[in-house]
Amino acid sequence: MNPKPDSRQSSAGRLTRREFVQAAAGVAGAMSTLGFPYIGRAAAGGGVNGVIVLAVDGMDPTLLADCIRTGLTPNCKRLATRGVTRLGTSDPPQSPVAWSNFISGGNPGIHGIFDFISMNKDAMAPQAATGSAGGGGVTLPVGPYALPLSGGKPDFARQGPTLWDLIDRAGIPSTAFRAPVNFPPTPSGANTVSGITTPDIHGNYGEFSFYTESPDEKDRLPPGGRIVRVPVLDGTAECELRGPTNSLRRDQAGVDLPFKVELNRDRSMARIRIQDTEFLLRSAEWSDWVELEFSLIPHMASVTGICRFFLKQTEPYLELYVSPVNIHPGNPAMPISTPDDYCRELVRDVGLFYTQGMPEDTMALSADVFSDDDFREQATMVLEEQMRFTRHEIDRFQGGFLYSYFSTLDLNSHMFWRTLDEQHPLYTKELARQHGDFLPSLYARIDDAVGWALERADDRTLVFVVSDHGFVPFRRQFNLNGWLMDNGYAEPFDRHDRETATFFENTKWQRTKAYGVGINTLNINVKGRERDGIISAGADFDAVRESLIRKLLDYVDEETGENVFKNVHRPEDIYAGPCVESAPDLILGYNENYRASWDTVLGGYPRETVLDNLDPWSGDHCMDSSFLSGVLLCNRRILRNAPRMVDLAPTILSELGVSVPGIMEGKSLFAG
Amino acid sequence: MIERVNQAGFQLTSWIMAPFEKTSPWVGIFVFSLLTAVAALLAYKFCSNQRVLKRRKGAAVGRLLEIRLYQDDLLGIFGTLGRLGGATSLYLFESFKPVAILLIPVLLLLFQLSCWYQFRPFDVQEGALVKVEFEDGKAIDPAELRLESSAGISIETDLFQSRDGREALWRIRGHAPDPEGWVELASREEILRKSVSVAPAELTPISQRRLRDSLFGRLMYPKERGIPKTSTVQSIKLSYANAPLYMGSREINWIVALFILSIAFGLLLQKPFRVEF
Repeated sequence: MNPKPDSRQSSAGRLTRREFVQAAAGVAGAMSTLGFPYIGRAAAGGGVNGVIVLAVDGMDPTLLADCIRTGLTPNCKRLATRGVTRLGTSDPPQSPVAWSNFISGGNPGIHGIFDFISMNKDAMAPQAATGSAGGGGVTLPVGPYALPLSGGKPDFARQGPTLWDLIDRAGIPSTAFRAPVNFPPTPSGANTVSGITTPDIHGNYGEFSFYTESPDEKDRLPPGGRIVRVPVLDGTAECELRGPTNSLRRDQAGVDLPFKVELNRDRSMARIRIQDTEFLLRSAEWSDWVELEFSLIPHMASVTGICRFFLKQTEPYLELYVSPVNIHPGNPAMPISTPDDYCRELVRDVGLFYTQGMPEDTMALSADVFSDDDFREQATMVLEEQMRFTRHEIDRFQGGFLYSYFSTLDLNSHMFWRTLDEQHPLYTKELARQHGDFLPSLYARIDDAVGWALERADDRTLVFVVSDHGFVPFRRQFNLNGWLMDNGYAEPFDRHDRETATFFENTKWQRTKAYGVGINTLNINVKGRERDGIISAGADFDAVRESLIRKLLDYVDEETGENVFKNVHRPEDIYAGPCVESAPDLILGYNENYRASWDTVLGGYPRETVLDNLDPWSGDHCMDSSFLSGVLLCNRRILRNAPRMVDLAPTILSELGVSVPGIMEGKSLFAG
Repeated sequence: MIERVNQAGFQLTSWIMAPFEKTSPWVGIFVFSLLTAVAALLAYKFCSNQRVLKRRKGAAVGRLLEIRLYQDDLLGIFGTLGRLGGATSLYLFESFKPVAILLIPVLLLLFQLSCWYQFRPFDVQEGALVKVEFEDGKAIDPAELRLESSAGISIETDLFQSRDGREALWRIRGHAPDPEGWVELASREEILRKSVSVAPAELTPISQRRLRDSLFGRLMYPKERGIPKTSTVQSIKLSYANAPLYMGSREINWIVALFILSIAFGLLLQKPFRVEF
């Protein structure tokens, strides 16, 4: 950490810049209510009236440079007159970590987000590392119900200041559409809607449902979804859509919704009836948003959600996909915006929208429920929706701060990198011919949003295009926990059950020295910290940790002859701040082409240490940060050498004339 | 008879609404709340015994004060509650005549206003369902049914007939704003037209259904003439979504808004009208 004094403090007896800005903004606000346009910008005292940030998760600098060269992205070209500026990402280069660096202007030691997943050290089970809406308030049992007498306490995992809140507190309009790592939203007067890490109505990152008549299928639960076999009798399938658990019932039973699918196979059509809604779909068609109500106490309490239906086919078998049930933005069951009214206002002005943090259904593609074409269609729908909302906010932007987040390039690069990487195990020429154009076409579409922002910006408006990381191939996967077990760092209860047990169910903690949880983190099983810790802090801890670093850095993939790891970091070497104590014991920087396997991430112990990645999820960024710079484009020349994510927040605050908190470590991008 | 009532009511409501069709939906709600309040005040003024009504109301208010004054006397409060119930019943009895006189016009007004406020028109490119219901036991051969539409509305699907043959469905989509769009159901015996409203620039009356039977049902959908009694078609329905009426960013039901505003106007105007209610 590099705390810096606030250079903008005024001398005694004079207004500080912040006081001046607040006073000016108050006058501007009053004038605005009297019918004057927003003029706070003129009085803000910073260099600019407004800042628009288009946050494009996963925009890769090399791919963008190719798109600029081929003329696909003319607006980005206007901003990249000296080439695409590479933006230093976070360690590890995961989106929640990198965007938290952006939001707080500091490293993970300041904001406390180190990975998507962390370990609950009391239960010794993996948990989401990014917060939860909370529960566990006082309840009154009445019959089968448990009526809440007090609300639960939300868990705000991300610490430190929030860029949009600091701007709002200075009296400058501030909006963040799909604000990352902000579920539940931290209290603020700024307009925010939660983005990445916002769950679906079940509290998961997204659970699709797939109903099939195929005799080859059976009921099963692939990651991120459920496949249900349904019989079709007399042309009609009776289905049930899984609803949320009923938090008002003592048994927490689920609230499922029955629905009917009536087929006309001759015409490849179906009529779907769910609650009061009915609609017709032809094969390979998507429905509009369907609003649902899940009753918790009949006629008294309910939660609402929205979903889309996709009729894959009617023949030879019925196949119907239902998207994860999203939190209804017009009537949210969990807090997803600040103020509460902001998301309702968006519904009123623009329409319903995906509230799920990662709306592109990658899991459905991995589970073979979607074909590549199906996924492309759904991903395009998501992008067009995000474009619509971005356009809406840009059109009404009159200064201040606007942040709009796009998930498109990230999730589509994960799934379609195999169309560009000729050495990927799943690459084929036919695949490249069919879908090789998709990622560049998405870059071109995002470029349209850049054009809108530039059109809206006057010479006192800064426009940033920011990407949190780039992409590299994910060809080979490393089973970290399996390797720990093979090397004597972990002990199973049952060596024969290594393949199937997950969530550390097969871990004898009293004999385990280290475990990997999440994608880039490794922990020592420390006495007094972990529930069944066995390694003493101090010399024992250091000895285990140093041996792990040495062995991991030396580990070579026998098949390719390449090292699996590029770097293994001690947290004290790369982090500083009040949250360092809660950092993982080691941060793993995988080499290019390598990443943690899916099985190891949630505490599985597969036998094979390194194996091919045969999942469509073929590109990734959870490797060493040195390969994975993001992108920074701006309509003003960047002077800072090697800019980093943490530099954005202090730059934006300074330019808007808002005090930069001392805890922010970044430096202005416009100072050499 | 119903057709005439519907047509007259619809003409009158359209005439009153005409100046407000380009304004916020709230303006019309305000105007009709005011008219309702005035009508209610006049009904009370001329159809109730104001002197007795005032006395009954005073008695009920007195009982309420009694509860407040003697709130420490639990047994006393129970007794007063009984007397309050009695006084309220007498007050309601005195109000019965004006309320009864108002009931039918207010219901007719609500049916008329529902054309403007209950449903929203389809957006451009929004899919919609056309659902035709046939009389029991008179299912029509699908080969004899045809749906046509005005320019700017496309019929996206083939006919979907329910398994019992009683329902025929199509999906349509409007491609350009058209408040006067339509679909036409053609069978061997007849041609029936149903209005479709797509993204009009101003507040426009919408008819969700066109109905054959049911006196009440036809009163509820006054914009379009009923389906002839000789037809085998019972109703033609479009899947209009409810129209949200926003108070800020919060939705409020238009009937609730009308009711609250009518009471508020009634309270404001009772002195100038010298009416007790």
